[in-house]
Amino acid sequence: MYNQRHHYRHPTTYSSDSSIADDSRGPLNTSTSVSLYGTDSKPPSPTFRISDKLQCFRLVVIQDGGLRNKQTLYDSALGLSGASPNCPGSNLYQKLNKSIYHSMNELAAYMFGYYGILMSESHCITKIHYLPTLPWMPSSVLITRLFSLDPTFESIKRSTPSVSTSTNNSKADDWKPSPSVKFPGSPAHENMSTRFSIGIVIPVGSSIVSMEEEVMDNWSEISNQLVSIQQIVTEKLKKASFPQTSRRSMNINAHSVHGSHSFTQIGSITNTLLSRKLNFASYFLQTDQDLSQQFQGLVRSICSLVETPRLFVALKESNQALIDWASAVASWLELKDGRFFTADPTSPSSDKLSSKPSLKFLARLFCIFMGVRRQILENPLNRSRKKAVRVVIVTGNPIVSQKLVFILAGLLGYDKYVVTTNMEVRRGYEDSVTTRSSAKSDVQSTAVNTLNSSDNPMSFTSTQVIPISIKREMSSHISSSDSSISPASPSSKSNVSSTTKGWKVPAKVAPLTSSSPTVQSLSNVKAERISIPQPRRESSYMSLQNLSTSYGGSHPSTLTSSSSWRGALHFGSFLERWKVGTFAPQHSFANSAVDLTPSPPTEYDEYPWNGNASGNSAYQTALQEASSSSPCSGATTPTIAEIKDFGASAIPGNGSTRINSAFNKIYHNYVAKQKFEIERTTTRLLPKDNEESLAISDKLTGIMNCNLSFSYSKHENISVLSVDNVNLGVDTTIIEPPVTNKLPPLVGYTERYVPEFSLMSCTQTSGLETSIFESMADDVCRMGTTSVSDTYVISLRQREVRLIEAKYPVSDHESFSSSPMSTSFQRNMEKSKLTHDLQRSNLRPKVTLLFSPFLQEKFMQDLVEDVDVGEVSSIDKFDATLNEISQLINRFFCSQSKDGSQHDNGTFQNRDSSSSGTFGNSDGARIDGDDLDEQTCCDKLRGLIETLLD
Amino acid sequence: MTFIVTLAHFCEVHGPSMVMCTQAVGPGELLSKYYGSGIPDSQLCESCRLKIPKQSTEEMPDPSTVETKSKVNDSMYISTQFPTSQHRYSSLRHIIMRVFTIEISSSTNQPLIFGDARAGYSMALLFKIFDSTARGSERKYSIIVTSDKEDDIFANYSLILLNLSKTVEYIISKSMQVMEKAGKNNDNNDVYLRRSAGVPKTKSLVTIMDDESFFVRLHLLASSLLEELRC
Repeated sequence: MYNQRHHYRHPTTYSSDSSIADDSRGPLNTSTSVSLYGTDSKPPSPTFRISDKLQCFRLVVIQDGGLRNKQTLYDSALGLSGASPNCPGSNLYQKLNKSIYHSMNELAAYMFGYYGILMSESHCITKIHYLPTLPWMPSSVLITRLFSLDPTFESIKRSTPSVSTSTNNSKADDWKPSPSVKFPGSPAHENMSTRFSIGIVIPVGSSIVSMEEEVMDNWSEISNQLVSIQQIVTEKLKKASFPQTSRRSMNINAHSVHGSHSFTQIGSITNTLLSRKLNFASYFLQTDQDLSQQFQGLVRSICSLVETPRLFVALKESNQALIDWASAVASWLELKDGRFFTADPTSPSSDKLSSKPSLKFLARLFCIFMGVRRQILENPLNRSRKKAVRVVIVTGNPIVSQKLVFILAGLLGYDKYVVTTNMEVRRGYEDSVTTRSSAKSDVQSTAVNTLNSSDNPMSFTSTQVIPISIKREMSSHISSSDSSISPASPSSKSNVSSTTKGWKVPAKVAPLTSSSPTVQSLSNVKAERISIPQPRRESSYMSLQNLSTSYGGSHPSTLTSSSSWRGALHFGSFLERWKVGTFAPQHSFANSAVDLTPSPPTEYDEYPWNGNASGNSAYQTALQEASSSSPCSGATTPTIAEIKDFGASAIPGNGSTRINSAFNKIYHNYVAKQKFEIERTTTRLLPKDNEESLAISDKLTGIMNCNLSFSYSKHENISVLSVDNVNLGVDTTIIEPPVTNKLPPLVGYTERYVPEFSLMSCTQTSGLETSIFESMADDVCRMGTTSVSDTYVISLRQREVRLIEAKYPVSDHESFSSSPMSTSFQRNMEKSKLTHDLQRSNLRPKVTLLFSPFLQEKFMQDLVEDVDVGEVSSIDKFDATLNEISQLINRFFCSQSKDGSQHDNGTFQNRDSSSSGTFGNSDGARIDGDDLDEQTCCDKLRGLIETLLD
Repeated sequence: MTFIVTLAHFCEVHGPSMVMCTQAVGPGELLSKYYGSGIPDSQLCESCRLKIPKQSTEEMPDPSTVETKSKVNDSMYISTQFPTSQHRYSSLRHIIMRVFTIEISSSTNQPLIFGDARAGYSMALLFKIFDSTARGSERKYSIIVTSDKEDDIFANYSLILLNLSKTVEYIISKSMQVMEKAGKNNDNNDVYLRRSAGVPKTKSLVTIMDDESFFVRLHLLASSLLEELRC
């Protein structure tokens, strides 16, 4: 019956898959969950999981043939297969699962009214009824759209009663009812009209929140869909009502739709048509493909709207989110834009930071989106607006795009993602360092479980997850006789061949780093070059960057080499790969690390920087390879001796930068002392338990029991009683309207492009552009004249930002404005094909390239000025602030590591006391007492973000 | 954003009728335009009438309007039996007719939402008060919140629904208390023989609730709801 069921599930399945992935990481994902969604430990779930009840959705179309005579024209519960409109009385139509579906008579009673009293119903009526409980569907609502058609299918716009019976009073009346979706006219011949109704049954949870989440919050989308269904039904009935032979009359009628002048000229035809009311056979539309397609679209749309968790990046509220955000910005700038930072203000490298040639991808993105920030946070389907803006991040790698989504959403929604007093928030503060350390080691020790599938479990034991790990690993590489490390570490024992095998990827990446423009121009070249190839395997962020091919220098060879590598691995569905990766036995990971894309759980949070033995030893190998393969860059490549020196913490000067970079890596899993967690569902922030209900009860009791003081006054012949509500003696504070609890339509990774969201990342598919164009065409149809729909497509693979603009056509087609129907439907209409093509050509979207690394800077400047997305100077300003943010967070990690190393000294003593001592000394010498505690750092970061937003 | 809160009643004599409607009057509007004129007693029965406490000392016509100033803005909230605007009146009549005679609801504690571009968009909560003197031993009422914007009703769904359901809950429980109290004091055995003997068929909510100021209190509740809806 429901062949498409699996199809429906698809988006949902994905989201649950991703939640499984998140769950599988356990506490490791804590910071991600906190940062992206504001919840602890697991991603938010909807109040009512609608995807479990997909079969309960139902669409019915009923014709009113008079009292006790209602014909069902379409019922999705019966399905398409086997339905034969020629035998409406067949038993097939009687077979309805009564435990899921209400009887048609019952539904008809709700839709048309119980008593069959006919009122003058010329307008489209919308209704919502709660349906009685069924065994398999405890709670559901019926959304009805009732409309009338007359045999001529003409519609006229009737004047409202206020105009016709205008008095002095009603002239100034502001009572102008307006529907969510404007629909023109009502039947011209009211007395000959037949009523039709479209009913959609939606399963809901029993709570008010569930009803709000599913129906009320998505009302604009639901009413859009209802209008589309009504248009399809009207067109189908019209087609059937006028046989092919009387096409002429149909054409005439088509012209007379919006004006009644031609009506008198074709009076005779109309009279013939009006001789009898419309009456269609039962199940007349049952086999209609368009209708079922539209219905599926509606179900899919509601599902993704309800079940896709929306972002809540509470930078203002949560220190954890802020630190994660700043750290993500820092790593993006470092890894993606090719910047390098030092935490040490005295370091000579900091002076050269500004003069460094590098991409300003992130700065430019911010610059572009600052102007449309408000629009992005609004619902793109809102009809009352004149501009819809969407941002689509296209990539083959959800992890990288998720990071960018996180960065963008944090900044764009900085003022929006706030909590109000009526929300349920858990805050706390952990004061003791030991708690924090243990929390940290908890996180890290779970990393052991999660990362066991990689080839190096030992490096993740809780005692070894510390700032000194790099040094420790270095030393372990040097002296493999260290008993506490070597037995468990395959890589410390590994011979050259095994490491080389594991290093195939980075080896191919080596030219990339050596051709980086940042390398030659700086004195601290070695540090930069080290920081890039370091990640590997279990910290496979690096390899994924190569997969996305967005990482690396701006040299074209980067893309070429990465792409070929990607091709050679037959990199297919990302999902398949990481599923395999998650469940792959340990040995397979170790042996085929290059062939498998490691699972996101092991890398999502993990930038390359949980320094470990294999990573470093491998990276040394990579350096060896790099130096041998590209001798010209040998001069800037650190020698093994230097690395050894670094391992022994004996590198003077620029060594600090490396360590700082390592801090960032190690402290990426930093657990903030300030705890913040909010109660939420996928789309809303939940109010405090019963607070609203209690407040209303208090108010009611107060008003009902207080002593009222009256005062009387007289106006002409009218006596007026004035009652004051200030001195009621009860707390009648105004409750915040619950609408503020709804989260803006910004989401993370979705499997397909979902036009309902204004910020999302999705995979590059062949139909993506078409879907974007279609949704934009729908937007402008919906919003009407002078409306604009913009979509910013960020392609991480090409590192391009394109702006697609669609404007409402200037040469206004009357038919176009009156029929903003779904494109899928338009495609299926034979006679409107020409019109449709014309509309499409009018709607041809304009595509502008806003950013590309391959374009000359000068050209880019011209482009940027043309489209008015900000001046170059403001990009520099953004860039400078971003740099400051990165430096600040690095400095914070640095000072934390100092604290950490002091506190954790005892832990290290057993393992390698001398190294921790040396580390502490070298560190202390460079940080020059500029300690940052969490709150200070966060306050400073917030200050910087506010300057960005100004 | 315009909302109107209406108390409607299915009268045994007159059918669907409007008892009280509360509107918000913006700062720039002429207040007296909204004042409802007094309606002669002969035109309305006890059940349908909006009964406002009279002033005992001075000689003044019976008050027909209740007004309250908003605490949060410069709006005034005015309750009258009928709205003075013709358009609003016909819209509300249409809506009340629909609530009592056309629409059905699977259970009375669930709201009914409906609307069109002519009459506006409403959320209604029906309730029945047990009364042995009434036909079928129950009196049907409904509190209706109407907006001229479809989106506004949906955007404020939970706020409106919670207010309506709490109010209805209170009215039902209070009326039961009053009924029980009256039953204890009543030793007129005639009611067992002839139900209609000596008991009025029409009864005002003021009597049912045993509170002279009930409609004023209801006006305050409606005003606070309008205030929360930022009217």
